[in-house]
Order: sequence, then C-alpha cells, then structure tokens
Amino acid sequence: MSAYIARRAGRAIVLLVLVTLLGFLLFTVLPGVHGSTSFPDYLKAIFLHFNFGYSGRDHQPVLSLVVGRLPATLSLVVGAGLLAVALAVPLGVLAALRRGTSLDRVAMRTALGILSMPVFWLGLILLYLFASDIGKIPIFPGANSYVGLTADPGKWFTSLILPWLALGAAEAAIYSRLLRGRMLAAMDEDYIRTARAKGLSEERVVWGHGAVAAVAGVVAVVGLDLGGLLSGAVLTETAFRIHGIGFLGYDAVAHADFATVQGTVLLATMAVIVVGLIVDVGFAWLDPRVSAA
Amino acid sequence: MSEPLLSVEGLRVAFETDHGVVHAVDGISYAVAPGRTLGIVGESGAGKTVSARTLLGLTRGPRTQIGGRIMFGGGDLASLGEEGLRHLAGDVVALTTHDPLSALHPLYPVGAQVIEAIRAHRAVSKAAARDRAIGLLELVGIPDPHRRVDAYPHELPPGLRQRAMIAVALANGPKLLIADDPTRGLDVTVQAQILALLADLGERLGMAIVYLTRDLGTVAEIADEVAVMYAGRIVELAPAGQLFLAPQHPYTWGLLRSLPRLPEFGVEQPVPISGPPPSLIQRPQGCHFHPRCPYAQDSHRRIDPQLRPAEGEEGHSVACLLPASVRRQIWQGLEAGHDLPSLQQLAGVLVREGRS
Amino acid sequence: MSFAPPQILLDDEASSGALEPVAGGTPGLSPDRLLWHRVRSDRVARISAAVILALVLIAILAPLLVDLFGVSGPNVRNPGTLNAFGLPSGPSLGHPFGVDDRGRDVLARVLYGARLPLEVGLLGTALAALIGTAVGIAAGFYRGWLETVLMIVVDAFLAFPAVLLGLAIGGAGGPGLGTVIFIVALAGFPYIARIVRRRVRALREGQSVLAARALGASDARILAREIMPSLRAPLIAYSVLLIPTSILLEAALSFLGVGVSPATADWGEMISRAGRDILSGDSAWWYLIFPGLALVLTLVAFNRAGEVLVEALGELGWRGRNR
Repeated sequence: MSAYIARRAGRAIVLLVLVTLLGFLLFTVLPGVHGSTSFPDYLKAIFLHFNFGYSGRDHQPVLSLVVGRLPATLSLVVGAGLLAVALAVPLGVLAALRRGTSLDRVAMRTALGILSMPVFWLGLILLYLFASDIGKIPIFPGANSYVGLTADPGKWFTSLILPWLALGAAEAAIYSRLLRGRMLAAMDEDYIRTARAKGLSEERVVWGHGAVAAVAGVVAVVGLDLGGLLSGAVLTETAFRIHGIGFLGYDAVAHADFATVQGTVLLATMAVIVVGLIVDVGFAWLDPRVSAA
Repeated sequence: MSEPLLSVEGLRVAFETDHGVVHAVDGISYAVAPGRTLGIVGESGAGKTVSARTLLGLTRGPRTQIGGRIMFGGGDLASLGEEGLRHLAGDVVALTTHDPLSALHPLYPVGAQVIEAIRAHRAVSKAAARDRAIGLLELVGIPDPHRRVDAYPHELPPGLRQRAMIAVALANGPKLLIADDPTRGLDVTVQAQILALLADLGERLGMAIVYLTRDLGTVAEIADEVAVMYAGRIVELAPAGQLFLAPQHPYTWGLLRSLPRLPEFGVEQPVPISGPPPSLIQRPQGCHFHPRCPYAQDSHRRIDPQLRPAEGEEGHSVACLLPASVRRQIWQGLEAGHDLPSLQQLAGVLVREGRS
Repeated sequence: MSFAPPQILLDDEASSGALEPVAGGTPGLSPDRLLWHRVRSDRVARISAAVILALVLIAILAPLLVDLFGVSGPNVRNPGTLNAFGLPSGPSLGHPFGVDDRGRDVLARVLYGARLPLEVGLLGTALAALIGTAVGIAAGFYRGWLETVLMIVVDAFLAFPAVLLGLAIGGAGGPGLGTVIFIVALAGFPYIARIVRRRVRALREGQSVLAARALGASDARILAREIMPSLRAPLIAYSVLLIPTSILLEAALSFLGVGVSPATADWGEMISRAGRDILSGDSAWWYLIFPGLALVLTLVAFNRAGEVLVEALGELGWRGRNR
C-alpha cells in the first residue's frame, strides 16, 4: 500500500510539472499574451515562489485571489457532491435491482434528460422559478446572494440551496446511470451467490456485497473525471454569480485580465491533480486489488 | 445404511428463457446419510450445479419452475419460505464452489467473510467470531492463520484461497456440505490436497458431502456413492467401488475411457466421448444419450429409459435400454481392449438374439 | 460535466481483460457490420438517428425553414416588438417563440442556432478522435517509454478542467470557429486516446496479430491489416458518445462569452443573453427555454445513439465484463 501511495504521489508530481509546461506552451503561443519569460523561469516562479501571476485589475497576486475564492467553490462542490451521492447511490442501486420495472425506466429516463441539460441552463431555470428576487415562486435566495460560511451559516446554507440542486442533480444524473450498470454487473457475480448461500439477509447481500463493489467501481472513475466535475462547478458559479474560482476566471476574461485566468486554470488543474491523488489512495483502500497490481 | 440426512425426490428445475424452456434438472432422486459423501459426475450442462444450488434455494426466481421434494431434517426445503431457507443456508447446509477468486468478495479480507457467516447465524461478539474464524482457517490447513485472517482473496495462492472458501462454508459446522467442483482449475498436487482435506473434514466433523465434479478421477478418491448425470437426469447411481469396477451405462464408460491413463481399465489413450452435449431445450427423443451412444439401437430413439435397479448388485441403478447381459459383455470387451466397431457389432447381434 | 467521459473512463477501467470480438451467431460479419445490424434493429437507435438527421437538415435548411414559417431572419431586428420600456414580447402568431431583447425572432435564431453546435460537435469530435487514435495507437502498439510518456501527457490534459481551459484559450485567442474546435478537440482527445490504447494493447497480444507476426508481417502491415480494421467499431461508438460532450462544451463556451462569435445565432449564446436579462428581473423566459430545449433534444439524441452503439459493442465482446 505505501509503495502504491509513493508511486501515485510520484506520478502526481510529474503531472504537476507537466501541466505547468502545457499551460506555459498553450498560453504563450496564443496571441494577446506577452510570453517574455522562459519556461525554466516560469517553473521556478511557480514552484519556488508560488508566483502564479499578478492581476493588474485587482492589484493582487493571482494565488491570493484564488485562495480567497476557494471557500465559495469548495462549498458549492462539496455540497453538490454530497447531494449527488445521496441521490445517485440509492437510485442507481434500486434501478438495477428493479431492472425493467417502471421505477427503473422513469429514473433512468429522467437521469438521461437531466444529464443532457447544460447545468447553467438548469440553474437559470431554477432561478427563474424559485429565486426570491426574480422568481415566480420566490422561496430561495437567488443569484449573487452567496455569503461565506463563517460570516453567516444560515444565509450560507440557504444561498447555496439552488446551486446545490442544479449541480447536484447534474452529477447525480451521470453517476446514477453509471452505478446502475455497475450494480447490474455486481449482482451477477459469483460472490453474490456465496453471500446468499451464507444465509445473509437480503439487505446485507445487496448493500454489503453488491452496492459496495458497484460504488468502488465508480469511485475509480470519479478520480479521473474531477476536471469534468470542476467544469460543471465553473458553469454553476457563473449562472448563480457565486464569487468562486470559476466566476473569477469568467470575470477576468470578460475584463481581458488574462494573467488571472491563466493562473486560475493552472491552480485549478493542480488542485484536480492533488485531489485525484487523494481519491486514488481512497480507492486503493476500498479495493486493495489496485495497489497489488 | 443409516437414516438419510438429505433425500432428494424427483427434483425438477426448469428455466424459462427467451429461446425456450431449459430443462436443467429433470426428475432426479438420491439420498445422503450423515458422514457419507455422494459424488455427482457429469459434463458441464448436465444439471449438477443447478440441482445443488436448488437445495439452497439459489435458483429460485420468477422464471424458474421447481418440482419434487428436498427432504432434509424432517422438512421439505423445496417448499420452505425464503426466511426459513436463510436460517438453514450457511448454518446447517453450506456451499463451497470452484473459482474462489470470484466466489469470495474481492473487497473483504477472507477472515471478515468467515466472521460474517458466523454472525449471520450466531449471536457472538466480533472478537469471539474472529477467534473462531482463525480456528477455522487453521482447521482447513491455512498456515499462519493469525496473519492470513486479514488477507484479501487476491493475496492468497489458489490452493489457500480454496481452503479459505471451504472455511467460509464450515463457519457454523454444517451437517451437509455442498462442494461444487472445488478442485476445478487447481494444479494436480493442490487438487489432491483439497480432496484429502474434504475427506478428512467429512470424517472428523461427521458431515455429509454432496460433491459435484466433471472429473470422474477426483470422485474416486472421495465419494462413497456416485451418481452420473446426463442431460438433467441421473443415468447411473452406484457405490463408488461398484461404479468403477462394473459400470453399466455407456455414458459412464465414455467418462471412464476419457480419463487419462488408467491401464487397469484397459485404456491406454484417453478416448473422448464423441458429439456435442444435448440441448436442454430441444432434448433428443427416446434415450437422451442415443445420439452419442455407440451402441444405440433403432428402438432407443423412441423409448425413454427410466433409472432402474441393476441386476444383482444392491444400490446400483442404471437407466439404459441395452439388456444387462449385453452391457456386461460390452464392458468386458472394452476392458479387454477390443476395438469399437467389433463391440458395436456385438451389441447389435446380442440385442437381436435377445429379442428373438 | 456530462455523461460520456465518465462512461468512457469506466469502460476503459473495466476492460482490462481480453478484448477479442466474440464469435456471435452471425459468422462472417465484421464488427462494424454487426454494429450496423444491431443499430438498425434497435428502436431507440432509429429514433435517435432520425432526430440527429432532422437536426442536421434543420441546420442546413435554416434559411428555407425561416421562410416557410414566415418569420424574419435571425439577425433582423423587428420594429414594434419591444414595448415602451424596451422589453421584448413573448410568443405570438407572428413570432411563435417570441423575440429577444433586440427584437430578433427567437424561432429563426433557434433554427439557425443548430449550425454552430453541430459544426463544432462533429468537427471537434472528429479532430479529437484523430489525435486520440494517433496517440492511443502509438502508446498501445509501441509500448515502452513512449507509452509511459504519451499516457502521462494524456492524463495531464485530462486534469485540465475543460471549461476553464476553454475560458483561458478562448479569452486570449479571441472568438473564432477554429479556436473553439481546437478547445473541444483538446478536451476530448484524452478519452479516445485511453480507450484506443487499451484496445490496441489487447489486439497486439491477440491471436491474429501473433499469427501475422509469426508470418513475418511488418509493423506497418500489422497496423493496417490487423489493428486498424478492429479499431473501427469501438472508435465509431465512443466517438459518437463523445459528441454530446463536445456540443455541451461549445454551448458552455458560448454561455461564458468565449464562443465562436457573439454575433452569430447560437443556443449557448442565446441562453447567456436570456440569463443576463432574467437576472436583471426581465421575464424573458421564451428565449431561455426554447434554445435550451433544442440543446437538450440534441444532447439526448446523441447520448442515446452513443449508448446504443456502446451497448452493441458490449454484445460483440468489445467492452469489459463489467458494464
């Protein structure tokens, strides 16, 4: 296990340097950017001085801008993720167990519909319907209402209800379908028969043996798809005007502050790599077969 | 023979599929006494595994029809509800299978899987169950059980993995163990060890074993009685010694002759049984074995033979339309190494003579 | 962000075992013929294909349709459709989907708006498939250090959040069809590269390649005669599954203001404009809803088509055991 962690950590470090190089190449070959530094200098600035650029508009280092926006993005992503798990796991598992029934069909068609909706469109519809300022049924705080957790926990929670719903539904739609597939496969496995032959209760067979394997299979993918999940968060922030990292990037582009966008992209990508490493290790803990390979 | 522990009476299992009804098990009967081992032999698709899983209710489903009785401990398992079966399964009746890498859960240590089986039926503490699990791992011959109790299935070599699988089955000291080809896919030396272990456990724990296999060779080493299955039916049932010395069904001969190197049976080169196994949806008319039987006569395409006691020998039954005397002469001819065409001719002549 | 990438990654993870086409009940048919056969006999696939065809026709024939419906062109500002406060009017007989904040007919813009998403979705995915195939073959066939280097580069690209990367590139590069297609290809190629590599690796150890090698066939010949033909079916299926993601990315970039062109009718751009007006309190639901519905219909059709194709692959034994 520790050899596996070391291996994955080494790979993550290579990835960090690599994305820096790719970022450097992509951003300096593009017009509108002044590529005056060399890559070694760029690398040194980033890894030794944590210098991800300077925002001329905000008169701040990009790093501190991003760090300042981090709590909002984290609040959105973690809350939506929890909601997605709470929806996707039971739905995916039940749809698989009741394969071919109307529950399965309705759930999976709804999921297909939602995952085919751009999350920003879903967000705008939620705002149009429920936002307290402009909505037809004004019950939840609308756009631009985000308040930090430490400033006012109550307002923090209510301001995030609609964004959580939009992003959480989108993620739940994707992952419930994946889970259903994995669950169907898991329930066909020999170990399910063994569990039944041991006289375990049906709940224990389904959740303790089938669902555990199905979830483990999907977690492996979540680690690889973190970039996609963060993309969804960027769009949600923009639709709801939540001043997180995504909105920072959007706002910077709108004001031609390219240094800020590029620093933000690089930092976000590095965050994806680091969180990916954590997910990998968690997955290895769930499924010890990976670290043996 | 003492009172049977398990008595299967006219068991039938049929599955509805999109292609038609599969008659997987078609009216089989057998009995096993405590401490005895019944071997069930047949090709894959003969119905052994389905019949064994049906004992534990594992084949039940909306598209399955189950008939007959499974008498065990004074009750009929076939008519027992889900809940009742759950109390028996893994407690007094246990299952162990081949391919433990897929039959054991990949995400739990083997010890946890034994502990889970214990705690599903006994209200014992985790610590006590763990102690018992370690004891069981030791019982099945896993070295260093204190360490191995926390090993995952993929971390064990195949032989130890199969032993762990057996330990899971033994968790609650079952009276009946259903062993579904536990030596399949193992090296020959490991096979021998697993067979010796099962034989020893059966004896020491007074456990009855129903041992299913495709390999007549392994059955010789463990079974007291052997049932040969073909196309969902038992075609020959005999005490083990009897079956190997005086087999009476052409399919059994085929199985014996397909074993590698058994000079005492007059077979130098293994001779495979010709032809494909029959479809269980569209079964052959008459004797199900006739399309592959070298000695089949015209009438065998129409008449369906029943399992009947064989002449002279107690406990030996066979389902074959050839007269007993003819079968005896053919087997003697096979043992003497006569070639097949001459034996086929002999069968034809003898049958005609017998009829006239 | 969408359905396809996780599905592709999941298949990639699950398909570590042998990947040889299984001998099915239809001997003598190549994998892609079988795929085609399966698709023709599937109702969902037929409906999806019909919807996709209809969308392509709408995109091509948009000028004709605009005339047919008797509405004004997508960039024509209709006088008298904005009220005294400059607010647009909703659906009416003259403008079935209403007009937008500049008095332009929404139906016409929705019809014309099919053009960019389809162009970018198809061309961007094609480019992604091209790059992904080249990288995947190089990695899977030649193995060794080349595979290590290529696959870590692929994973590096996978780590970039596509939308943020698109913001940075699109923002600096300025609007343009080429820029957006480039971004879409950059975001999509890692998925294709991973799945292609896995398959090439399996094929490379497969019977037919070993036989060809034993007969002294060159690498080029093995690639052309043994590997490429067997890659065609999975490549088609996973590329179709990637199209909805590409379209979604196009819409997202337009929504963020870094799309192909702020002046051209485009669903994502329309949603962005509607969002701005709705947040400022104007009840302009019609130009939020209609382009969004068009987008959802398109994405459902492509998602379903991709799913059916990938399922058919599974029946050919071309996917891992664990679906």
